[in-house]
Amino acid sequence: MTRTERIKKYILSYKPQICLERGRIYTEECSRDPSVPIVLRRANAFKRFLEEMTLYIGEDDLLLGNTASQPLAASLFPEYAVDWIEEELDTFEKRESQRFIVPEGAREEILEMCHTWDKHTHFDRVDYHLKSTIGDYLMGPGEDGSGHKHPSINQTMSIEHNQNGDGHIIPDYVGLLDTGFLPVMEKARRRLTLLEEDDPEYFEKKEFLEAVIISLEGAVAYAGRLADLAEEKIQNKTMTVERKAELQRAADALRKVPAHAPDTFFEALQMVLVIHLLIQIESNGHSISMGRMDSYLYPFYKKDKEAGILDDDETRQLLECFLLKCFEANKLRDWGTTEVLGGNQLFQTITLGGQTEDGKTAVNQLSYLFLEALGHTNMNIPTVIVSVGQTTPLEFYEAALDALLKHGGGMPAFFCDDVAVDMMLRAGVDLRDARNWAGMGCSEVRVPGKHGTGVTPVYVNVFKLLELAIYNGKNPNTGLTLCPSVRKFEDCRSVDDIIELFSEQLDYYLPFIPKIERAIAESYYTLTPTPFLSATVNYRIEMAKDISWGRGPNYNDTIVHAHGYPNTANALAALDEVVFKQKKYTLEQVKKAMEENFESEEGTAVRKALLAAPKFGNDNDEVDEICRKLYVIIPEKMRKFKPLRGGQFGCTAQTVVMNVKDGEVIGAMPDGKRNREYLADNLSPTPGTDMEGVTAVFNSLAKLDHSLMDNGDILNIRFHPTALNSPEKIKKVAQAIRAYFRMGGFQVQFNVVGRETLLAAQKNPEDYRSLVVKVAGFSSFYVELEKKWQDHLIARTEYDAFR
Amino acid sequence: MKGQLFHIQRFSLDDGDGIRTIIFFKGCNQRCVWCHNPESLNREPELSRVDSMCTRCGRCAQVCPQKAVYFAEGSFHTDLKKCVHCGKCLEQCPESALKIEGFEMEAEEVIRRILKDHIYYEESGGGVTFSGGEPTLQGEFLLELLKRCREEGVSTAIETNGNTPAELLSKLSPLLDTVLIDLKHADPVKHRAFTGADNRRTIEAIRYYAAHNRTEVRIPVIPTFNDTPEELQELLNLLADLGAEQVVLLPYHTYGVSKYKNLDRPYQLAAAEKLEVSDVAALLEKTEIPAGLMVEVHEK
Repeated sequence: MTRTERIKKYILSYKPQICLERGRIYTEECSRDPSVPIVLRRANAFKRFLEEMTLYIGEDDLLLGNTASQPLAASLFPEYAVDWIEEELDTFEKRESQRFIVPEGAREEILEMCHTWDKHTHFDRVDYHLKSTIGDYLMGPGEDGSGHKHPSINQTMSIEHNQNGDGHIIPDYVGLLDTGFLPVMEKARRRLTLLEEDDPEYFEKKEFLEAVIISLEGAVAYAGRLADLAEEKIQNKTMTVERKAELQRAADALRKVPAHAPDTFFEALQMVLVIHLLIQIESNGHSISMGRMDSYLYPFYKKDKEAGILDDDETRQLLECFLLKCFEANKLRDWGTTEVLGGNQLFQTITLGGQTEDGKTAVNQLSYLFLEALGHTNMNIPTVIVSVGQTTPLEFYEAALDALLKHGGGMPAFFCDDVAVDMMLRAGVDLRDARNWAGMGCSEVRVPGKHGTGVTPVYVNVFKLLELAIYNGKNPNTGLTLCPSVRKFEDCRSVDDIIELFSEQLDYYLPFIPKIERAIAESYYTLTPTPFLSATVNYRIEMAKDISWGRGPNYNDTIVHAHGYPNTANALAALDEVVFKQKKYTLEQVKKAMEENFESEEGTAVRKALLAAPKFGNDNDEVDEICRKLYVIIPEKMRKFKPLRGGQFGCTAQTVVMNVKDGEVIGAMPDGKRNREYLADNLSPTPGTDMEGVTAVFNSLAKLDHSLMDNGDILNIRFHPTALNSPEKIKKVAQAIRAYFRMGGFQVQFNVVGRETLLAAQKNPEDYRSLVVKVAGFSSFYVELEKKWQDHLIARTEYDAFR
Repeated sequence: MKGQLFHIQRFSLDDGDGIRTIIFFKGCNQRCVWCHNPESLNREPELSRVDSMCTRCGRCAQVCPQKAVYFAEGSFHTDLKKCVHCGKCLEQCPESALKIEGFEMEAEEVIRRILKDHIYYEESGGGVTFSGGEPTLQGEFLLELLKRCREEGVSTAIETNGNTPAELLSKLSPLLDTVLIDLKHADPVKHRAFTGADNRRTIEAIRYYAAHNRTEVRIPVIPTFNDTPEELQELLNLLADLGAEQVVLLPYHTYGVSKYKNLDRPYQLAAAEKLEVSDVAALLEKTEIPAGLMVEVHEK
């Protein structure tokens, strides 16, 4: 077994369990003295946790660091929400997937913790704001438990992110590797001395800066403790000389970083790991991403190689250890969010490739080593993406496909560098910053160190809004009409008329988004500031304001998920074809068939006619044009609104796995969807309807203006392994991706698995424990997905090389 | 001008250079018993049914005005002579298990479809491949398409059995960048027995193309037909005489068998087992490859 295989085996030998240490210390520190400002209480808790938490070192670990008391254990973050913990505590061990063990004797303490935090959490605060502003409109899940577990506005948009931290950030690793933490602390101290006492925000700023210093002291202490532990282990007389040397190297590095700037590749990688893990200790927000690791680590790699103290095998091994360390970190979520996000993913994203600020390719030797490391580790976490475009050599595309084949689980995903730059420019980012973009979370595009992000306030169910337009503003599920249509659906004479009705619903519902955003943003800033995180990004010390405050010179972007485009376009195209062009059925007849869920004799015939109409993903200009038109509407409308945190509302068409839930609240629709059936994921064609092959899917997607949504979108394509079974075919697929991106495509990710494999995995999950699949913006263990999603993956069209 | 096709396959990575679009012509002048595209053989459209999706509900038989669709002994049958391709049964089928194989298409529409992937050909050095069926059976239509491809700058290839009149060969050849041509057997009698036609025109076609075009000759290696070292040796010797250079051996496979069931036709080679690349490579080792020939074994 290789070291990587041994580490994987060791991590997977642990069953995920709940670790109480963080929750305990945060509860004590935050509730001890209410007179102390919250930001200081949180900083003290952070520091004390880092000074006291259990540290461990795996037998084969080269890089050190951990977030909870054992691999795959998840800490509690009671400051964000406790209601769900209390409600679900006895179900954690019984979940069908994402099971967590509650350690013996912990139950009482957890309940006590929940009791202490009751009415003091972020969730309670957001709940208060929402109730006091839009309380009359909030709606729970249906009586049968279907649909969104979280509150929604007449099922058109659901509020998911008020139980966790906000996350969604890429630190300035370039700057941090250049200086280490000591100069950052020094800057904070200097800033403190410069504060004007008559500044109306004097106290707020002073407390924040003090909290930054305390937090960074905690980080330095943590590194020191890891070094102590490594040296303590070395005392073991039975340990081999080689292992002692490995641990000594780690200990030496941790005596230096993150306090001081690193000198070697090893030290730099160890420093990135420590910072990355500590951010996830301070808050449990997800999508904490690492930015362009191959670019910012390259100078260290080059120097060490030239000095003869590092070779490529060692480099690859260290990268593999890094990837596995990210896999070790785990998160416990409420079941509703677990369903929506498809598991316990932390969406830690690493970006490779891309271009320099000068517009030249940034691909280097380390980029290739990283891809090889990814192929060797083949775990679903963390996420690795490649940024490829005009400047990228074809060999890099091919190397990425090679890694994809070896990984077998959908990574790396391909992102178009050029479109990402366009997205940033549209959002007002400077050109050189734009070229320095990196992926964050699933598909979001950000400038590392400079971008602040407001976490998604809502998920907009675009297809549901079309349903409302068809029923003249009424939600047939709830019977509730909030925005009666001005004209009747039955009177429409063209697709444009129907789009107008749809827009009318949007105009009514979209203004809820800033109301919800304000409630969430205010609470994050007031109750759960993150001074450690703030110290790792630009401008916050100068401003003396927490990153959750937003504003300032940072680029700010609040994510709005709006999804369901392929179904919506298909529905409109089907009405166009069947009603307006063929005049086979009237709108009344189609609507009646929908109301009967296509179950009558005529309904069956209507559905057949609707299904025969052109579908998105086949390079059909009519339906693609409808999708293009739809795609423009929401980003344009959202420009009117400004988030509390500043900047803009940036849209994304990705669904995570919300398309399953979204489908549950929608009845039968003109695209042929039956009541409660799930929607197509992301921008992927509706499963089984893309009959023209990959290039047709690419061409359809490329007709959309992807730069309108700077939080990106996703296209899933599943390849049978035979489609990629020779270097020639890999080259052709690489060329196809390059052509797709030249036409304006933004993103594509592939699953290289066979249908037989997936069916077999359903039958014998034990035998397929390690089968990784890409389901939305991320990869997951296939057997851990819910059955309906497993079925969805099986249903997705498979591009087989045979005919 | 219109032609009769049965499929257009985009993003083909297997047949020739780069990313290709394959235009499948309907109708063939040979009846190779192992043919994996039985829907390609008749020029006329024909009804096909995905057996695994069919629930045998019988609605198709009930609505067929020609009584061309019927059930006998619990299984589905079609009488091709009676079927007028009206499509009534397709409309009724609740499982969408029925389809009509074959459609007529204007040359300009075919070109429009081909051009949809122009950027991929450009990026990969790919192009269009005319396949079948036997594309040269619709000679005028094929010539029209090839001329239009030249005008549009799309690289062209043909997959043919070579059973083509000499005068058409000379018209096609200057419009083709690549020729992929099959030769199944060196013995004209055995060739006729297994394909319904002798090999004389094919031999002449290979001689002509090899002299004028970049040509790859393909030999499907079929059990009980041509899978002995002697027969393969004869084929290779013949090809060397004809001036061929590139030869590819394609092991027999059974991916097409379910299509026969769908078309309600018997499969004549039912007893034969699929061959592996390694089987054919072993066979090849027992032959002596004549000078000037490059022989490879590919999975197809």
